Amino acid sequence: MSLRLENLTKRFGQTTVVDGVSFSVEKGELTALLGPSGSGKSTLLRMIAGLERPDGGRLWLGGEEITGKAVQKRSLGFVFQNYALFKHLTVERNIAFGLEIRKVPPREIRERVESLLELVKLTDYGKHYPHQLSGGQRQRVALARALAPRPEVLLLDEPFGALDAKVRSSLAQWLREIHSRLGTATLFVTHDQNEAIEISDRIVVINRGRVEQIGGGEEVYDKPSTRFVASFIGNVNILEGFLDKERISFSGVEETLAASGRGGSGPVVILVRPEELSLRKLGESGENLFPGTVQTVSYRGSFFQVEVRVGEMVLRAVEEKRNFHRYEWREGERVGVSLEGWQFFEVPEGHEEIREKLRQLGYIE
Amino acid sequence: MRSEGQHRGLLLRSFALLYVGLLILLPIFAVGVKTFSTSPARVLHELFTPVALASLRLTILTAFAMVAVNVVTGTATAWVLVRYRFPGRKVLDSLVDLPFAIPTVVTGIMLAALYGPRSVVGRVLGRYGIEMVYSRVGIVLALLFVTFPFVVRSVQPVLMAWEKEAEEAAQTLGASPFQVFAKVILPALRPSILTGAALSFSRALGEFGSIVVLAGNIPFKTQVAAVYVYGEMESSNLEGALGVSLALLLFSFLILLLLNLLQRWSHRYE
Repeated sequence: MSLRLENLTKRFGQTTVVDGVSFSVEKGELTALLGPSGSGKSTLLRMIAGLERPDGGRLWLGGEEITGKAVQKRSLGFVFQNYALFKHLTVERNIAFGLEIRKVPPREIRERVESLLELVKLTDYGKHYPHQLSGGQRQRVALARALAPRPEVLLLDEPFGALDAKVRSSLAQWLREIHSRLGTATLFVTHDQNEAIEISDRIVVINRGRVEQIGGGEEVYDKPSTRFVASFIGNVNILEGFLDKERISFSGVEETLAASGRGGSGPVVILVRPEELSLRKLGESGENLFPGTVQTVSYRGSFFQVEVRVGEMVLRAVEEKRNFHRYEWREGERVGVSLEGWQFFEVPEGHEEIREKLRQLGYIE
Repeated sequence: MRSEGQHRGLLLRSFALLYVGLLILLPIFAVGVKTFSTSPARVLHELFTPVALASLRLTILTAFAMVAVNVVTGTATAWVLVRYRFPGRKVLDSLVDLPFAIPTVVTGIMLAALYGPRSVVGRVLGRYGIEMVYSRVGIVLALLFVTFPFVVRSVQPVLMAWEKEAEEAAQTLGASPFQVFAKVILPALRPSILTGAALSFSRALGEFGSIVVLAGNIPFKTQVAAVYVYGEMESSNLEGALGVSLALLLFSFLILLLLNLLQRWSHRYE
């Protein structure tokens, strides 16, 4: 069965935290609801579950409208960031809870619990209490508990947020596996773009209570439809320039950037991902090559991050180890920065307001 | 070699042990010695006189009645104080401790003034055949008053630290509000409710002031154990006083033991 949101809206006092959100989640689909903290994604999820009452819009499950339906009757599974297990019950009884409430015959409950314990790889932990388990194990119990009554839709609110990086990524992969086995329509909230790109079929990017873009991971990364999406998904350099006669100039820089096919003139913003920048020896010639000075070089494990000052801008570039060792860039060294790709955005009205927001969210300085 | 800190620790521990020993254990020991230095047989005989047994029975029955009411009203009060925001909440919160602050004799006088046969309330109740003064109902009432804070104050912090997500989880699993309370919240509160119940029970075993004022000292009717012991001391019947005292002491120990076992049992999942 599919879940459909239609213009869902929620206000807390004067602020609109969810603002006319519409999308749907189909059976068999694993959808990520991705956004920065405070973007309204958790509130949205809680509204779907019925834990929060929407101020506007409608919710559909299959052909049935569930907007005003009580939480208890929605047939949705919910997994909380902090597990929310029943501390006084064993793992088995936690998983059995939803079935006991529904008065499922004890024999059936036993069988279901057993198969779920197997699914979440906790067969030997049935008699344990939650406090005896690790964070990752607890979250697996929470997932089994949510799945026990066979919900039509599974909702997960930052399910791996409280776990350390390693457990987090293995658990995310494992959720992907479980999902492909069960096919339950699944919607999970995350602020981690990597997690979203890694495991979901589709990503709904949400910012300030509104949907910014809906699409597959590759689409959202490579063809961001808004500046927000471009800057939120992955690292990005934000360059402000001035477009005139198909060329963009930057303050304090002599060279210009070729923007063929771009007519008109006025302020523009260009977003360049670090991997779209490459560093050259100074003096090499080429299109879209800007001279600059290396400011910092930092080792990041599998790559080096090099910050280069170009005019008034500081550009962050990523150099693979092999590449880096060919040149051994030093701080203070003059280099050429080649822009090999970028996203182009004309600056609309209210430019400053948007920048201010991006600044607050920490995407630009 | 021991450091100065370890020495200080040893000293403090010894002092704590010594203090508790002198202050609490020694008097208990003294009652035992006294029993054996008079005549254990007489003490036992005095304990099993009908009037002594009646006072003990009454004490325990009224204590149980009080506890049964207290666990409900105390939990409900704590619930209201934690879960709702309303004008006067802070006042209500501080009123809860009042019974501890008021001398129990004064409590007895207050209750007698309110429920006495010459007061308006007393007359109305009297019309329905309910007597508060010189009655067993009065004893339960006095006990309810003096022990009120116990359950409230032991349940309240647990409720405050409670994470609501478990309730929401239960809801999404299909539990009705009543089921959420019965299956999720109540089990979590059980240890603290039991603690409050046990504390108020043992407090009730020894209540004297409020009961003697409100319910008097009528043998077989309103004479509770503590009042009986006092009467026996007054009439220089040491053995009579010792018998019931030892019985009360035994009950107190049993409750303490039970409380510990219950707590260990309910903390098995923590």
